[in-house]
Amino acid sequence: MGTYISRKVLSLIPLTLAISFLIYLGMELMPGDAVSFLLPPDALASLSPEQLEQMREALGLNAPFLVRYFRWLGGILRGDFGYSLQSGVPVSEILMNHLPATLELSIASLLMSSVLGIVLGMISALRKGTLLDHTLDVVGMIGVAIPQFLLGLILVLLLCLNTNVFPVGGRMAYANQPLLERLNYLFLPALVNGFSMTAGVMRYARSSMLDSMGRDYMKTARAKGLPEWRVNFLHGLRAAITPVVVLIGFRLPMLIGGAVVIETVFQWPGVGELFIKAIRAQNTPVVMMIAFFSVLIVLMSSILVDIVTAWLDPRIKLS
Amino acid sequence: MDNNTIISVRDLHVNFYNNDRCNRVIRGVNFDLKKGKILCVVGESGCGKSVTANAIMGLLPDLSRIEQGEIHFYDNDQDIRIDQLPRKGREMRKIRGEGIAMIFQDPMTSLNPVFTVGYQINEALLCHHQAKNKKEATGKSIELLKQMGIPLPEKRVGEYPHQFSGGMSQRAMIAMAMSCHPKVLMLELKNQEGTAILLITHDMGVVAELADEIAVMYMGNIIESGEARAVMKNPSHPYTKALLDSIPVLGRGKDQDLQPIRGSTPDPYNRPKGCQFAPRCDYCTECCTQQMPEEQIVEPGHMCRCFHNLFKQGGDA
Repeated sequence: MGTYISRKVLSLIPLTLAISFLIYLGMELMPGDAVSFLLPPDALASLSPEQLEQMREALGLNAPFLVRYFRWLGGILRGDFGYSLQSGVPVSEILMNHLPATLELSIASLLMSSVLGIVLGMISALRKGTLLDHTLDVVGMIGVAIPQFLLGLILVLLLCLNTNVFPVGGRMAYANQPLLERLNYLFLPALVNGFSMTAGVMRYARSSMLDSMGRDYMKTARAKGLPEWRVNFLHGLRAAITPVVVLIGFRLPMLIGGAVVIETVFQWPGVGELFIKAIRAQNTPVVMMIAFFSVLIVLMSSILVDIVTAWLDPRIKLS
Repeated sequence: MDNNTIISVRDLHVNFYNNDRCNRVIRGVNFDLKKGKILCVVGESGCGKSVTANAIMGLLPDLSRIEQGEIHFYDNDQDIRIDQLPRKGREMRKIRGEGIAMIFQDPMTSLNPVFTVGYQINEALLCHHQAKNKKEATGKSIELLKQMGIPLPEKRVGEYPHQFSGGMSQRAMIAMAMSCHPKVLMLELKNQEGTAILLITHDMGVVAELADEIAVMYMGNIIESGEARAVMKNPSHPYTKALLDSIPVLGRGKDQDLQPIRGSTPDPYNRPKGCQFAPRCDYCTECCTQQMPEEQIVEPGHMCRCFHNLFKQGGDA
């Protein structure tokens, strides 16, 4: 187990390097640079080419691509993520300012989708063929198919602009606001972010549960004289849960990826919104930091899935 | 009804409902199982052997119903009507495991892969109050595994089903079934202390060796039944005769003339009108295609449902 985890973690290093290089290359291939974004068009027009060149030199944009990449990589190794080209604030500080909002949103939607998805999937399986099952099936289909931004816009239109039930967007700061007030802002973004995943988990939990319910061991459990709840919830669900947990584990990074869209729709001041703004501004240090961070989460959650699967299913051995 | 009868099935009809169609799976089955005896139910796949067993266990699928008939279970002079008990109710659950235990065909898939073997045996013990707590249950589980000849039971009790071989899983299943000292044991295919056994199989060799009584099923009816030796020696129904002719007998040499039964079992949704075996039967006459023959006693303790009564004709007309 210990050797397995350390081997996996070591294998992350080359992968992370390769991916970071590709993202850096992608940023390089984009037309324009940070200077052209930083300056208003009229200022850009009034500056002489020499002055612009000076600015580029000052921002370190003139060195060859590879030199700049390794300069950035060296910084990372020393724990220095660089400074924002727009504000000059250290990137790590910017990230730390935006991370709590994203984590709040991600964890809320992850909790909602896991709990609600598994519960609804089980109910659907236990009530197979009923009106409730068919209704959940249709809702699940819509949830998987509808683009998040569309759902977000529809809900903003219906619940915020037309009826004022929820605030249109933004997030309460952590200051002395009552919890309920803050939840009011969190509710819609978390709902939209969690909806498609709830639908996915539900559909998966249903089919996994149905598969488990058809197995011989369920009959053995009934033949022993166990009460029905014990047969379904212990024997059925316990055996059905492993693939569902794998699905949830692999979606962990998607919660942050999905948050990019949601945060923009709801002006949620999280990492996603920051990411979009930084890409537009060609703010390479900020983009690289968020990309690097996302890659790490993707890779870490795949290790986490391996460990949890081995813990849930005694037939699986880590080696 | 003599005192030795433990399960009595009378005129049992079971229907399955599927896609707006009704499959009359069991069509009037009668038999008695006596204390300490082994009754073998034999027949091809789909003849209704397992459905009969599941009806007795109250484990029929959701979309099925006992249409008519009675299933009596005699427990300590109590006459319990299994067919009238709610399938998921408390009384039925008490009978399952404690009154009647069942061992299924495939031991490898009958144990839940995510629980230890010991846990699964403990469950049965705790459920029927055979043990006060988990510790006592585990002690009993170890004892049961030891009785089944599983080596190192103290270690094995904490292992998972995938660490068991097929034979060991089978023995663990028997240990589980016998843990609450059931009065009746139902086995699909593959015996024990004073327990009546309902053995469901299509292996005639096993039947010849073990059975006290035999019931031959075809398409939802028992078409011949009686004392094992009587049925094996004087098969009176053409189907029983054909079944016996179709299997090799050990010790008769390698040049045995085996006769497969011609044709195949009819579609249950499109059944022949009269005797279900008529389309495949060498003795078929016109009356066979018109109605199902009634139960006839061909000799004391030997029943057959056939118009032709091969028994009278000396068993091999």
